[in-house]
Amino acid sequence: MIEVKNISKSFGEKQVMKNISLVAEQGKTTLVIGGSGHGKTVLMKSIVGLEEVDIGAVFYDGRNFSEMKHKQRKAVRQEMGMLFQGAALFDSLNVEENVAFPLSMFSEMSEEEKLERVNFCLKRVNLENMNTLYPSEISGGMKKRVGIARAIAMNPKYLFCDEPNSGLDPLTAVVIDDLIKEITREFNITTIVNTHDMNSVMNIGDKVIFIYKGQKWWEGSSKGILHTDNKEVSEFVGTAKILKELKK
Amino acid sequence: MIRYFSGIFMHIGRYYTLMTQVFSKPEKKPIFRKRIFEEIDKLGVSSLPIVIIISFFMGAVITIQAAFGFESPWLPLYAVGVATRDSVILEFAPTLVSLILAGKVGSSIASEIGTMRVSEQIDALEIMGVNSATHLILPKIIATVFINPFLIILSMFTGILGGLLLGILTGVVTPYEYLYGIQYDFKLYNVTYALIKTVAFAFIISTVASYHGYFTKGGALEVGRSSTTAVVYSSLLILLFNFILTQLLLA
Repeated sequence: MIEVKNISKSFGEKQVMKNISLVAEQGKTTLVIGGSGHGKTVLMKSIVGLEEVDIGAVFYDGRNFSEMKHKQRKAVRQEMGMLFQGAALFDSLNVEENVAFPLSMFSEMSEEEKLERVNFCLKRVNLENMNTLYPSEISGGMKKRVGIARAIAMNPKYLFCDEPNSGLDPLTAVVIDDLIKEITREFNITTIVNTHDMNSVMNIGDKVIFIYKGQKWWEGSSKGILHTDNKEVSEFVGTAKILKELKK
Repeated sequence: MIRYFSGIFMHIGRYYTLMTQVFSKPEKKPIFRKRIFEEIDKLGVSSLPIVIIISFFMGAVITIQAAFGFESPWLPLYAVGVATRDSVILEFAPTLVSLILAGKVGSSIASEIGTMRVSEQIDALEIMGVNSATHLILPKIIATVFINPFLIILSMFTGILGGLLLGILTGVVTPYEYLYGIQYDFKLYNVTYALIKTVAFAFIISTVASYHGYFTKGGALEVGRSSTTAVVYSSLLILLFNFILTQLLLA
């Protein structure tokens, strides 16, 4: 479980996050939604420690991550997996080496064991026989899937996905959503997903948090978001709501 | 003016902080060793052709210019060999070649690390618990500090060889006079001095370029800007430290 308690963050005089609290439960997917520039990415970076918060704290299963020293943080980080917006695969490594990278750095596995684990992870994201291809040789959707495979390689307890569907066609986006949902349940991971894709909200969101102007504006379920009276949330989900009505 | 100086101090402070991060224990020694060899190949071995070509013609031009300037009955012809040897060893090989490497290697380091920064690859390393500064920068520093002295020795040899071959070809010097000149009153300390300078310059090139790459913010345009800034600043620092080290080692 991840608990975020009253965190705030400013860049110079501009406050980008104001007193945000949230709880992400194990085995469930917590979606953070909101428009561009409202602080979703800063929130995620603050949760994983890529940005230091000014006020507040982040707890990983009761451990205060914000107060940890470098070595302690390093241990917690080895329990994290993250899928970045652009996948952030290492350009100089091929698919197999990318997925094997955390294993090579932090495990004592033999080469055979590593290869077995890599192939398992790649199979899990439906990418087989692509081990020798480089990131520049695969599509955006494949990159995201390799990114997920790399993120789960170390059996993480916490999974973070920053805009997993950005730049993907609708079909591939659904594939990625399904993967995140399945992996979260299958491995009992605490997952936080940043998105502004309403299809993701409907597909994978166990809990939805709406961020508006750096503040937590609304919290509820993916079903609840369609019936909320909150003006900003309604405006944000408007298009998806119409689609839902049309479907009905 | 105050803003300009505070900017300089900010860069010095941030550079120092980065270096304290860089010189930490690597995560896994076998991987680290592999990365050093990769960097030696990427930054050093790939620079061989340009170093050889530049040094060869640089030596040839120095020989022709020396011969042109020494057209005096009071100066022996072997002075052309002496002038070429000393110019190449003391200044041209260590400083000029280092400036060229600042352009080639420095821009390559800054753009590589800068691209990794803007495409979140450095964030990905940090999330995994890897010290990105040590993992990415330390192998580059070790590789350049190790390989650049070899490149400079090669540059010295090629420069003097270029002077001999093209000096003979153009008829400005005889082989006997030139070979006698390059051995005349040879001081080994000059080579030591050049190599000390080279090591300092290699450190400047790799760390300044890494610094600019590591703190790149934005996109492709900023990566290009970081790369250019890295080359400009490392070149200026090379010239400054060339003066300081020369004063310290030769004065």
